[in-house]
Amino acid sequence: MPDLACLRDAHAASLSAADAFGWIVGLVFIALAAAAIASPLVRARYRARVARLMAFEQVLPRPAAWWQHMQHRADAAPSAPKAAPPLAAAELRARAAHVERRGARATLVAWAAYALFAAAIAGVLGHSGAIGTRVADAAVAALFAAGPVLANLPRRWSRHALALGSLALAAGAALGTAIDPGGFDSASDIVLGAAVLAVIYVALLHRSLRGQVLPVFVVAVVTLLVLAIPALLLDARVEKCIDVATVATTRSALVVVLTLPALWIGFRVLAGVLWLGERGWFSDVSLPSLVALGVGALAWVAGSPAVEAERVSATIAALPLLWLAVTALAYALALGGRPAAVAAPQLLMLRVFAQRSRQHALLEAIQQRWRSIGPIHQIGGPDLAALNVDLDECATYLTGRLHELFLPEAAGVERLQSLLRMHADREGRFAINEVFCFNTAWRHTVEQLMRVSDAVVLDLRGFTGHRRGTAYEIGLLGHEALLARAVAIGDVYTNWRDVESLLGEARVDPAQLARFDERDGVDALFDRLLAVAAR
Amino acid sequence: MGRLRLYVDERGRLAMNDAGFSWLAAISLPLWALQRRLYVLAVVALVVAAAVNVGLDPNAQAIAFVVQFLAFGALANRVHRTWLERRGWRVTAEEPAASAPAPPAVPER
Repeated sequence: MPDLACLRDAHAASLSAADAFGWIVGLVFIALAAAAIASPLVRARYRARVARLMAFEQVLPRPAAWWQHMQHRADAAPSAPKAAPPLAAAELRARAAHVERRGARATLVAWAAYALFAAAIAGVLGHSGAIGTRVADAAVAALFAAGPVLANLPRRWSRHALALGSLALAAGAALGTAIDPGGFDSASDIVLGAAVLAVIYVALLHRSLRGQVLPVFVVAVVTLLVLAIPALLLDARVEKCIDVATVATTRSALVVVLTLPALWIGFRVLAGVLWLGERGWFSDVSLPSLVALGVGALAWVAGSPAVEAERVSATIAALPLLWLAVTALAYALALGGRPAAVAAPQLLMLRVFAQRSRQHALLEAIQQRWRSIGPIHQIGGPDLAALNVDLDECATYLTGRLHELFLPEAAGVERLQSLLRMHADREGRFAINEVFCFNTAWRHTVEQLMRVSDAVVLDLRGFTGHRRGTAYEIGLLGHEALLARAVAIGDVYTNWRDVESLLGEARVDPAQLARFDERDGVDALFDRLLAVAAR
Repeated sequence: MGRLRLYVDERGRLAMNDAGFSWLAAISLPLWALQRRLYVLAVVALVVAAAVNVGLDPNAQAIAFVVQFLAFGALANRVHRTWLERRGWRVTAEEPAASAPAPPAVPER
């Protein structure tokens, strides 16, 4: 047994602050790049698993203990008034506009705080303290933050977040290079910097990727840090303790032993993030923006003259976290208190399980608008991986427990309602509930969701009678006399004859179904849905 | 691709069992075990992996890895299923058999 007293040797070479900071920055970017690369694979595997679980047949009812466990999970979230008194469409529209204005104001305040912080720390980071340099620093930081900021604004801005953000990023990079006191960087440095920023942007702002990137990034970065920090701290001392021949073996054994606890801690941190999200501390829209700003702050500090000259103090190392905290605090203060719990109209979105981005764009747009006045329900499907950012689902998939989200059989209306998240978060955004069902559960669940919802979007773009799931839903709306709640979206591929035939079989006049042409746009669709909900 | 079966115990806990070769178990048995909440097995597998890493020379390590890869991959799901059934877990839901017709509605939705 070797004598391990040498591990406590104060004279052993220790890691410098600059090296440690460099390692942390490197690991964060490696984790982000790994998450960005892995996310399409995770998404493909997630979709395949959802499709398989949707085909499941229940053969034995679940014990009462399982339902109690599901209920317990749902009870953890804040409650909201359940009975929704009918509101006038104008009132609902005004409420939506108020929530959007409040969110936009807070986002702009946070943007200003982010930019001003860059100006404030210019001297600490080794930039010139001249007012002109500080203003230029603030401008570069503001340009970098444009993408994450746009993504958190109402839809008319957020849909251009990636394109406009990339332009702002390029402008920021050009300005930053021009004001660099060290003169122009080498071409390789500029390419590397541009690649790093592009990865941040695409990974965290791309609409259909961010839902997978974020959870994988959180787990990867925590795991890497937990794995690397003890290894780095002990590495030099281990070399002193153990002869050269066994150092490599000891290192690999250390990695093997630490990997599982590190992964476990990574998943616990992700669970903590989800816990905060469930309690409404942030929304699925603002979190990716906040993470992008945090990674950007880290890149900013890592590329500063002070760090490049290896003058890294504890203050400098803490600056990215402080920067992010100041930005988040400004956002929270500008938002004000949690909005009062109000009775909210519920929207059910029924759709064909399409993977086309054009279809997703309209659904996402209507979701974004509706969630400022009420919750949205959807039957979960493999296509939603590209539409919604749901950290909980991705995290559950990563831990191999996606099946726990699926309803095995029809739950009663009250039980189903108690499982739905009906409250708004602190930003005023209501939840999007993806209700996953086994094949033995979805028909009854759809029926119950139709009953509890105030308005139903029936997306019939590309519909033909062969789409048996959607055909069942059309028939159900007719049979249950719920057509008045529905607005059917069609396109040039919609086979309206099949729709009329299905409604005829349900002995309902097809003229009762409100049709909507997708070319009329999101605003018109929103107005139609408000009119239905306010009936 | 094996057939998936979902087991439940009296306390309402769920466990998914896949039939066929498990790539995760082949690559990392501790991870496979953790995913299924088989914590004792995860720790034992971790200790064995560390011992193999430290105690064997590189050639023996390579042979041990190949043997573990094939054995764990081939046996893990079968052993898991036997373990569940002996402990009183029961099948609560399952995938339709490959020979059965596709379930209505879901794929064509």
